[in-house]
Amino acid sequence: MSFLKETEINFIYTEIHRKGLTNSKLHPEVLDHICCMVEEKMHEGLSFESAYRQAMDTFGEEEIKRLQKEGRKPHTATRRLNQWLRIEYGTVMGLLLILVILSRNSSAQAHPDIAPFQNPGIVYTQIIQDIEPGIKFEVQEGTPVIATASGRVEQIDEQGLTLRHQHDLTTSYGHLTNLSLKLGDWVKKGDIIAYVAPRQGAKTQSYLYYEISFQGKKMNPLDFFVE
Amino acid sequence: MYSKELLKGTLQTIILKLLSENNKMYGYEITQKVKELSEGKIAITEGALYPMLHKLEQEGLLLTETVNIGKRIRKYYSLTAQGNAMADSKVIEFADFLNTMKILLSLNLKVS
Repeated sequence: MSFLKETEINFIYTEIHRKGLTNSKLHPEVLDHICCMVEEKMHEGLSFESAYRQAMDTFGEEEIKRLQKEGRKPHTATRRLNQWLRIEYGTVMGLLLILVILSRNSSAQAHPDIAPFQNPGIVYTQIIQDIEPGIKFEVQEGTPVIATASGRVEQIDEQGLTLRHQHDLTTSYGHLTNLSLKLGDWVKKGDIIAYVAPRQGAKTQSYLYYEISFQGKKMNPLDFFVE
Repeated sequence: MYSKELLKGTLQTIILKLLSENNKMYGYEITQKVKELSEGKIAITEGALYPMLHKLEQEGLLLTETVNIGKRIRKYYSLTAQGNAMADSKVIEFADFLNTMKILLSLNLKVS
């Protein structure tokens, strides 16, 4: 395999920068990627110039623009949600739109767009994004947990519960204590449903685990909160 | 070449599986390996690959290691323990999906 000269690498570096890839996180990787492509073509006998031209034909300016756009997006969770909506479940977009419209009117109560605490600004100290799209709110034990939307208790045990709302939405709350609700009970948005359970080990902080599902698929709750 | 629609949703499984069988790989290497193994039928685009690698890294499934090659920086990806477990479950899920598709596409599904 022929290795590129420093001047050639510099040339590619300047070119991809000029074509719009300025994202510092992606730049080194894309540079290496294109260098590999060029080297492979040079190995087949092409000059640097033709190899570079061919590589860029394959890689395409569209890809560079796409990468740059991806790199700029704020966080992967939002990106995942967007991809999910746009590509795989395009029709859901329409449904969510209806949800938004509805939530502005009579069924604002049915849309889980608030944090599960009475005073989120003061109460929670940290949000941890897990592999699961649910989130952990690190809060003091005994903090009251509220229903983020009106709904019916669909599942309940000693430590957690799930509420079913309109539009095939459910919210789940974990690490609770003092649950007084029963299966099938109706709760209104903002009602206290239980309290955050004491921490389990000396090293862990007490927390609330919170999840939203739409049509049985877990969503990122952060994307539901109204900022 | 398969359609984009068909390939969507397979990228993550492909990456995880490849990494579970190779100690560490860099982006270009992944695209070449997939091209080779699929006999050119699956071409991973860079615009999809790198964002996916970064997403998996952020989720704690991948570890990265950068190596300086002259003026270039090469970023190698490998699986974390969590990534390994995810690779296994993704492969099982996908194999099951293939089976289901096989049933759906081969039987006479007309309701009589």
